[in-house]
Amino acid sequence: MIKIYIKKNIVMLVVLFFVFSLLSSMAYGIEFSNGNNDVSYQKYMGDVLYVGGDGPGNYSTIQSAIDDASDGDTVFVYSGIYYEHVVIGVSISLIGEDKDAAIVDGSLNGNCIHITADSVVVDGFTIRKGLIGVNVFQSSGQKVKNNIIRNNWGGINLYQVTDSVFSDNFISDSFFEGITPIQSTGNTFSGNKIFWNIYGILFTSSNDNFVFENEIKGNTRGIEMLDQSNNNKIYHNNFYNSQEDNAYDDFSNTWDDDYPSGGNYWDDYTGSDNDNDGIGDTPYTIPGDGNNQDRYPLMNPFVPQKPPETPTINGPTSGTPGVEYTYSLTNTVDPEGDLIYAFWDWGDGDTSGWLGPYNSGEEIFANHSWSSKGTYEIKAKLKDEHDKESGWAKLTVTIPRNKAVSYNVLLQRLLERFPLLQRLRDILYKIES
Amino acid sequence: MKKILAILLAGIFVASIPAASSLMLPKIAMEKLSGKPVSTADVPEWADGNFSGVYALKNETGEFVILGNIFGHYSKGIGPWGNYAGEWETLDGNQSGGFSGMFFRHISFGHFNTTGSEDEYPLLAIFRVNESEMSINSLFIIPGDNGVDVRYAMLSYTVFE
Repeated sequence: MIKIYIKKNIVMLVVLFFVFSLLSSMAYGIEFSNGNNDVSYQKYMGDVLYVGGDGPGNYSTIQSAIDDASDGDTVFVYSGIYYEHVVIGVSISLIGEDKDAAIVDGSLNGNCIHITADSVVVDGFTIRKGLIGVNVFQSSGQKVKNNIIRNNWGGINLYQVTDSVFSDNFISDSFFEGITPIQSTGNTFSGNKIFWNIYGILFTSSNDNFVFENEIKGNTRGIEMLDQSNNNKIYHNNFYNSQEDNAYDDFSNTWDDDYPSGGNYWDDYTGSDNDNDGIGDTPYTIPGDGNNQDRYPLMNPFVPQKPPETPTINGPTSGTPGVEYTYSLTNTVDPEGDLIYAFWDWGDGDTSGWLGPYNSGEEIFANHSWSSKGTYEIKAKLKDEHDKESGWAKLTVTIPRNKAVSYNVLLQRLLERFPLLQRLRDILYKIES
Repeated sequence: MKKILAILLAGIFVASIPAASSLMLPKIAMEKLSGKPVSTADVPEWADGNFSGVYALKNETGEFVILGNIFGHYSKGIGPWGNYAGEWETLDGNQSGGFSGMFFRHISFGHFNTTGSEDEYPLLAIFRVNESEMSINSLFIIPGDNGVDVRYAMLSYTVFE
């Protein structure tokens, strides 16, 4: 009787191993590679389509990959010059290998990248010689970040775009405007360098947008508000060397972030700071008919908050399913000494959310157990009080041994979920008997 | 923007009338042009170089629509002053005309016409010169249905030896 029981369980273990392997890859994602083993891109939903490079089956054009992509997929583009007018009509992430070397060139006869779908990410490209570099049309939830956008007629154009983020781009030498939001609301423009355009940012009929921590330099005019552009908030930007005005506003907008946070740095501000609080004692008047003022002009250029350093994960790299292990984060220093928060991704689909606050430099501990064997990549990152995030720290953990006691429970759950396995088991039982 | 640009340029225009009147604007040929891009084999004696490129409008969604080609010559005058003359033609070749004007630093004022018409219209422009790329980008206003229309021109230029 005992012998039969052992045999049954061995057979079921083989079946379970097969099913678990299948389910793990479905549930937790697969690390995709283009086949040349130079670069791989880890993701947890959707597929990755590769463009360029020398991997087998890679696409030769960005557009052909996008045409085959579905919502949630990633199109990864290897370094190279792509003479294309890319149209993105699905919610994908378009990722360049290297923003200096993954180049989309519009040949000055069309837009480089035209986005019509929601929730598109464009990250890591040089985007040049387009009529418009990145043209976003009637959509929301975009993230356009970390790109070099230069030598286009217009850098970024938004038409009826909402709730999108345009950050950390270098937008320069546009023949006309750097950024042109038209009838667009609730967008964020931050951390961009907007240099040497005719207009840096030209708002048209656009409300409730946020413009902060940008460097706006050498434009004919830095920012201008047109056609009932109201209730936009502009603060912590640095304005330098505009040929005419640093800003111009005929309407009603907010040009500071109250006291003591402050407003913007204006290189043509002539006021003084007798109380030495870093904020000018008299407002900076924004030219135009809107009677706008930066009430708290900064005496020195705004220095953006730096994110915490990428931490280090410490803890065991192997273990047993069901056993809880303790991990810690060190190297948790925030450059400004801000309070920090930690986020853990345990590699099995379980995440911690933001935990904290902790003091800068404090060792941070967290516990976790894995329910089944496998190889897991723990990831952790930090953020400070200003939501500046560090890079991801990573540690690979191998859970090599299963706990026998849990098999029966897991087996029962599997059989309930997959009736086909139940029948298979019944057949095996008959054969055995 | 249009209002400010117009006021700014009009002010400079008025202030510069005495200086402008002392300059001889080049006479421009009004013959209908053939072939694309717009070109002319005749090089005026006064020219220090030429320029060519395209002009465009922006539609209501903010996209550029190329309307036609531009070709012309320029002369660098005294100090920041200079003058220019040239020809324009729509992409389909159905309309063409000439233009001429003068510039002061990065601001220009002039006039243009359409072949077959006696009428002339003013144009006011701001422009930027990129010497390393040998390009000129200009934003100019002309009379239009809504008072003024904004046009965009992207040009490359040469310097005669």
